[in-house]
This record gives sequence, structure tokens and C-alpha cells, in this order.
Amino acid sequence: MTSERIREAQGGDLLAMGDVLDALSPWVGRLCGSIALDAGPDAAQETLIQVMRDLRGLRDPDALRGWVRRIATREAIRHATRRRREPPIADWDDTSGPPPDPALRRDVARVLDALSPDQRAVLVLRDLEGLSEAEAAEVLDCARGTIKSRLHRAREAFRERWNE
Amino acid sequence: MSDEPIHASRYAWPEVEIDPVTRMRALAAGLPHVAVDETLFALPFDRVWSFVADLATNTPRFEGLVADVRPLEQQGERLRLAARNPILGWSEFDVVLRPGWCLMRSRLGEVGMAARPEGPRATRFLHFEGSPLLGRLARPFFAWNIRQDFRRLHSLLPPDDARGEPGRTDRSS
Repeated sequence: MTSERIREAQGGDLLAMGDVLDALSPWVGRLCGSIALDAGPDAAQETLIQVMRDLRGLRDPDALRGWVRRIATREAIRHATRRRREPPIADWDDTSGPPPDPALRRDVARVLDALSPDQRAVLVLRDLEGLSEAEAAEVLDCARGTIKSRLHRAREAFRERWNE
Repeated sequence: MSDEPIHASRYAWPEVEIDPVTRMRALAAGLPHVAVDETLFALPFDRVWSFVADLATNTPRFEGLVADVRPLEQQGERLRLAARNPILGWSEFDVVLRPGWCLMRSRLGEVGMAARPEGPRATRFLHFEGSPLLGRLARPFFAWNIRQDFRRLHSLLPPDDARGEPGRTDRSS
């Protein structure tokens, strides 16, 4: 996705807006799925709606990815936290859920489910997205020390449960 | 306990597949001049989409603003076509068309259509229309036009087990 194409999308070019969505959607789906788990579809939809609604206001097209990451992470944490307070009334049914996942994916989802949304977020940003401590701290709006300790606990909890 | 990263290649991270209707809802959120509506067909996705995606044959059958469509050129999922409005005459459209997704843009108007399966025998269909030139003021007109499009589509695409019983297809917005 070139800066020029992003600018065209910001200018309201319909097909360029479609290209931006095409480029962002799989990545937003991974971020929201990994952090928000079963609240991922709602978080992903909210993220993309916010992105398309506010795209014109983004000053630097090259900052698109960081801007979207921040929105997706916050939406995912918000939806996951809300889902924790209001447990889903039913699991995925056969007809309206995502496509069936392989066993490995289910195992990872089980392990991630035992972590808090904040822990999942820091794990995703550092280990899936490859962000530095400073970058993750900026996305999550907290101190680097908090990121470091949260990440340590998250990795430890992940491995403990993975090996159970 | 090691503080090594959790490697993405080793563990399959959960991900959400974002379907075309969800994407199109997001796209419409960035277009304040378009009207958007959704409906549900009691037919499998392939039946609905093969009908809708045959733009040259079927668009004039359900879209009240289009009387005729002529394909001009195609490169993969990118097309150019000419469409005739009963009052304004011919205009050229740039189109992106793939399963479940269709965007059309001309000098005067913008159109989006998206579909996704809802179970094996139902299909959710989203449609937006609008004109950047006419802006938000024309939105009520396009909202009305979409409702007419849906009415015609439901009569062209009746449920398999209830032909002639339009009440068997639920409409939601």
C-alpha cells in the first residue's frame, strides 16, 4: 500500500478506500482475534469502522499502520473486557461463527483465554507484531516498566498453561 | 522460566476473518453521502451472488437507476463498464468485482454491494448508493431507491421452497 494510494483514499476515492480496507483487514483480524478472542469479530468491525470514518483526519499517510494498530488494540481490549463482564450466552454455533479452526488454534485460544486482555495485548504487540517495549508502551498508553513486567507475567502464564 | 518471546510461527494465534459485509459496513462509514441498507435472502450465497455479479444482464432488472449496462474492459477483478440512467443517459463506471464484493464508481455516483453466507441456505446482502456531487441531501432518495431494489431482488430471487411467498424471506436493516 503506497502513501499515494492512502492519500487518494483520504481524499474520498472509493476504490482506493476499498484497497486500504483490503490491505488492513487480515492484519486487523489477527490483532483483534488474538487479543479479544471470541469478542474479536465485534472488535474488528468497530476498528475498521473507526478507521474508515476518521481516515481523512490522519495527517501522515505513512503513520497509517501505527494509527490502526492503536485503534485495533484499544478496541480489542475494550471488547474483551466487556465480554468478560458479560459472558457470552452461547458458544459459536455451526452456522454464524468463523470457519472451524484446527486443534492447534483452539489450544492457543484456550491458553490465551486464561490471560487478561491487557496481558494478551502486550503479548500480541511484542511477540506477534514485533514492537519494541517503547512502541508497545505508546500503543497501550502506559510506562515501559509496566510493559516489561506485564509481558514477563504473560509469557510465563502462557507457557505454564501451554505445558499443562 | 524463560522470558523468550512466544513465537508466532510456533503457535497459531487466533484470528478473525472479516467478511465482505463487515468490510462494506466499514467502508460506508467513511462515506457520509451514501445510504446503506441490508437484507436477508433465503437462498445460498452462490445463488444470490451469481445473480448480482452478472452486472450486464441483471443490474437493469433490479436497479431502478440503471436501464442498460455494457461491459467495456476487464482486467482481473477490475472492470470498466458503461451504464445508462433513464434520465441522465450513459456514464462510465470503474468497478471492482469479486465474490461477495462489488464497488462501482462513476463521475456521478457510487455503489457498493456485498454478501456473505448466513448458514448454508441464507445470504446477507448489503447495498449502498450515493452521490458525492449531491451529498447528504440526496441520501433519503437513495435510501428509498435501495428499498425498491431490494423489493425487486426479492421477487427475482424467491426462496427455493416458497416461490411466490415473499413472506418467507426476512428483511432486516
